[in-house]
Order: sequence, then C-alpha cells, then structure tokens
Amino acid sequence: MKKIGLILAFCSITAITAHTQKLYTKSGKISFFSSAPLENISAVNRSAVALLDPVTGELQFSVLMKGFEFKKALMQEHFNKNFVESDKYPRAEFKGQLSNNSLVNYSQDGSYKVNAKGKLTIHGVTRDVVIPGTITVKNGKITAGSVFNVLLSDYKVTVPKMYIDNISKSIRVTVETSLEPVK
Amino acid sequence: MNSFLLIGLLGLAVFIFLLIFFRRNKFILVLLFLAAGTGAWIGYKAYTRTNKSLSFVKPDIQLSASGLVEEYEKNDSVANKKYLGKILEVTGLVKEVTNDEGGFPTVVLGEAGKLSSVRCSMDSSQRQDASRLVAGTSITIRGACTGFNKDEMGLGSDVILNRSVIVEKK
Repeated sequence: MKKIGLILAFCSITAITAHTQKLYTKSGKISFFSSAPLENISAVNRSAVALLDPVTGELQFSVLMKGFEFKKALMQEHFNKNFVESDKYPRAEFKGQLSNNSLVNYSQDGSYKVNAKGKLTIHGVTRDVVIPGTITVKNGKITAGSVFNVLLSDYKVTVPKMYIDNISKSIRVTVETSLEPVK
Repeated sequence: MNSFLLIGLLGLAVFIFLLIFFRRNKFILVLLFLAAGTGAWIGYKAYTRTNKSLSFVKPDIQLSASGLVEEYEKNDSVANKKYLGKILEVTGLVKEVTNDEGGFPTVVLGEAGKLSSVRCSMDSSQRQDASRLVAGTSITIRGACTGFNKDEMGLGSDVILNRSVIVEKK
C-alpha cells in the first residue's frame, strides 16, 4: 500500500512540475485588420516570439514590423516607410503579466479567459495596457490568443490626409500562438 | 474627400475638356484615348502590385546560414545595413520544421546544439515541400530578410526570412 501511495505522490509531483517549465513559441501569428470606407487592409506576421511563465504569469511578446506581409506590395512599403517607420523602430513588444494567472490550470483541458497587464511598445511609444486573451489547454497542448484594438493615435502613427478614407483609426490585432515548453 | 478620388475626378474633367476641345481632330482624339487608357492602366497596376513569388527572383546575396547568424550576432545594425530587405539565398542544415495552426511551415536552419538560427517563414506555395523536410537535410532557401530577433528572453537570437522558397535540397 505504501508503495502505491509513494508512486501516486511521485506521479502528482511530476504532473505539477510538468507545467512549471516556461512556455514559448517563435512562430506566433500576429495579424491586423483595418476596416475603412474605401478599403479593408490586412497583414500577417508568422514569426512572433512569445514567452510565458506559467508559474508567475509573466508574459512577453516580440515581433519584427518588417515581417508583416500585405497582399499589396505598395501597402507594405507605405506601412514600413510612412506609418510605423520600421527602419527606426524595427519591432513591437509587449512585456507584462497575466493578472489572473492563478485561475489557469495549465494541466487541465479547458479554455481560460485571462487579462495581460503590462507595457505595449509600438512605433517607439510605450503605453500601459490591459489586453484580454484566452489560454486554451487541450490534450496537453497550450495555445494563447487574443483579439484587441489599437488606436493609431495612441502610438503616434499619423495617417496622412490623403489616406484618411483608406485606413481605419483603430486597428484590430489578432494574436494566435501555440506554445511549447522551453527545452 | 479622399485625395485619390480628387485626382481621379480632376483627371476625368481634364480628359472631357480636351475631348470637347479637340472633337474635330480624330488623330488627337485617338491619342487622347490611348494616353488616358495607359495612364489608368499604369495607376491600377501600381496600386494592385503584389509581392513577387521569390521562386523566380534572383538573390541579392548568397551565404551560409551560420555565417548570416554570426554577422548578426556580432553587430546587428551593420548586418541590417547589408541584409535587411534583401533577397538572400541561405544554405544550411534543417534543424526543424514547425507548422502553425493554419498549417504554414517555418523551416529552421541551424546547428543542433545552438539556440540561434535562421528561421524561414515559407511561402504558401511551399507548404507541402517544406512539411516533408527532415532534420539534418542540407538545403538552400531563398527568402526576404526581415530582420533579427535579438535574444532577450533566453531563447536564442534568430534571423528571419519571409516568403521563403526552397531552391535546392541535397
């Protein structure tokens, strides 16, 4: 009996430690969508880096602005040159923490609503933000996603008058990541 | 009022004015229509131009994956001046192939023991070929250099290539 107890105890410990390891991805997908009277614009980046510590809830994201691919090449050029000035500010970042991390059980299947509180840097401007997101655990696979809006004026991205009907003032950002333990 | 529209309307007005002005001269009328047609066509082409598939684009620079990573690790601003936005043809060993939720593959080139690598986000035309790659294969990949993800999280630094296509597999 004692042996079984020991084995059970051991199993439960390994089950817990299995999710104290940090989780990461280097191929996170971040896309954005702008809906304006004259046209809809979308772009996608599949090389976002994300790191999540399931113990503390610490969360980091980093993405290269030049990695956003548009359907139209002209838009991609304008985006990099005129709007986000990606030569000067090559990347966007988020550094923060899941404020309700204790509610997430990383070893039990389920979908958990979380809030990421921290600093978002785009176009060289850093702001305090709270971003709603979802952490999904399914068969041991952990995915993290979010949909939120970014106001261009918050990050000093100015849209020339010429494009005012082509680009929305508020951009919808979608984040999809599939995380794996750090080796 | 959108300025594109304004320019378009202005062009149309000038066009109609010239049309009426030269209504008796057939030769000029034909020229006028030709000019307006090519103008509209060039404008439309410039506006809807898409990123070319890299399968048929000549690379700007050919080099090894490890060499590229080394240069970026040594000094990323110097390396950016040399490589950023350029079409690179990089040769190295496949470390792993990862697929995202939508099935888009990323081919990672680098040495097994090292964290840093060249990450090639593959063009959608390469989905099948890229998914079949096995670790350890020597390969040459062409892609647009989109920059360097400097290591800040202890995960290793990576050079990112976008719209990548497989050039040669050994």
